[in-house]
Amino acid sequence: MKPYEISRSINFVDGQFQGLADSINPIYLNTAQLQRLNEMFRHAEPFPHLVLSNFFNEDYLLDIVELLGEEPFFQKDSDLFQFLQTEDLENLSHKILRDFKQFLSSQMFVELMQSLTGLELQTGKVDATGNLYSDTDYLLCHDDQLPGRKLAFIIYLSDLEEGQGGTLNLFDQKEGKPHQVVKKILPKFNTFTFFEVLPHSFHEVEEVIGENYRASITGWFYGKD
Amino acid sequence: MERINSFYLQPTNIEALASNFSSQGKFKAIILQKFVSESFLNSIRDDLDHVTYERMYNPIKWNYEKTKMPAILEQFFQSDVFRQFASKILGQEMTEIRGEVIRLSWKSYTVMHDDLEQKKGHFMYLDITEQWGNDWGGQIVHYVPPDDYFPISHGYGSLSIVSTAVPMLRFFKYVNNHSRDHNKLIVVCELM
Repeated sequence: MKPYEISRSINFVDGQFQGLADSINPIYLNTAQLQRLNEMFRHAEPFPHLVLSNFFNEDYLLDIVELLGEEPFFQKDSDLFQFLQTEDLENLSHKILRDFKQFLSSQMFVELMQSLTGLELQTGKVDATGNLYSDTDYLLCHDDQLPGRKLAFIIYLSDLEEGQGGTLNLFDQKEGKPHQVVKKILPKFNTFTFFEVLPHSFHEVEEVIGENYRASITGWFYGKD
Repeated sequence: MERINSFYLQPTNIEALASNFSSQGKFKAIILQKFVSESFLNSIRDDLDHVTYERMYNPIKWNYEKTKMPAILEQFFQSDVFRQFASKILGQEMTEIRGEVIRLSWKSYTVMHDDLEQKKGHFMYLDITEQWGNDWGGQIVHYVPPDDYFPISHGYGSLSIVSTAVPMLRFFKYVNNHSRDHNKLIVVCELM
């Protein structure tokens, strides 16, 4: 069975993924498109990933941006990173944000992610936090590997232009070590980016330069064990 | 001409500094501002203008440049005056000082990677950076597991002496875009 067929029996009706059309751009819910994206994901270099623009319902995401701005952000500062982060969305005060976390971990959405990636993911278990990078903030090269993590994701909530930093940089590998940046993904509002967590999924967030912010919701889907 | 600030050569001051140092816990640190003279710093920098730096690049661990200590610094650290001073501060005879010069610029960093060895012992940092902003990064931070962090903020010509009886890791904080065309030069030594 091909990966995108995992969910067909449950959620596909007349070639369309059902139940998500209010929240997600319908162009991503078509079986033929899902099959194409699944191929793209699996063959992406330097490791499986996708960058899907205009992914969520824009009004829905604008509400999330506004409410996230009312939540407390905490300074995260170590050898590896420097940025501001909220608590997990499920612990935030606004119900819409908690609901969004539930939506991300819902059976319907997880099945969609399985169709897009071919990975077996757990329903009901997703980490998701709001993140805010401003001038000089960064996340250095790492692989994201922690027990259970299967798929890392970023939902961009702001735009940055070239020269303003904040790009998600993907490294290729040489003998299991990160070698050089081979792809840079520029943050654009309502772009949904995700990649498989692998021993060689080396990536970084380039330092933000200047007055613009890099806002996002990031987290991980977990594998079925 | 005297290379060490005369303040640090007065016996009563040495005694006070040594006493302060020894009274600290398992992680001891002392920062001696303006430890060496301006003319000596200029001589060191002149020597370093003519050396070749080796780039250390492994994105998951570090990105910086290094070179071996110039002769003028080797001689200084091996001098009786300096060794006696260091031995008094540390409370034990120092027989060997090994070190290198680290050059940090925009995007330089080191991280505490899992496979790096935790170290205990005596360490020393001489900052020979003439112009550096406090918010540009490049600070040395010592980490003593499970959750103690000891950042060392240097100044031009300052000497920091660190002694740890417990294993620790250290990192150089990422150097950000505010540093632009400036370099930070630090002599990093281990005392034995």
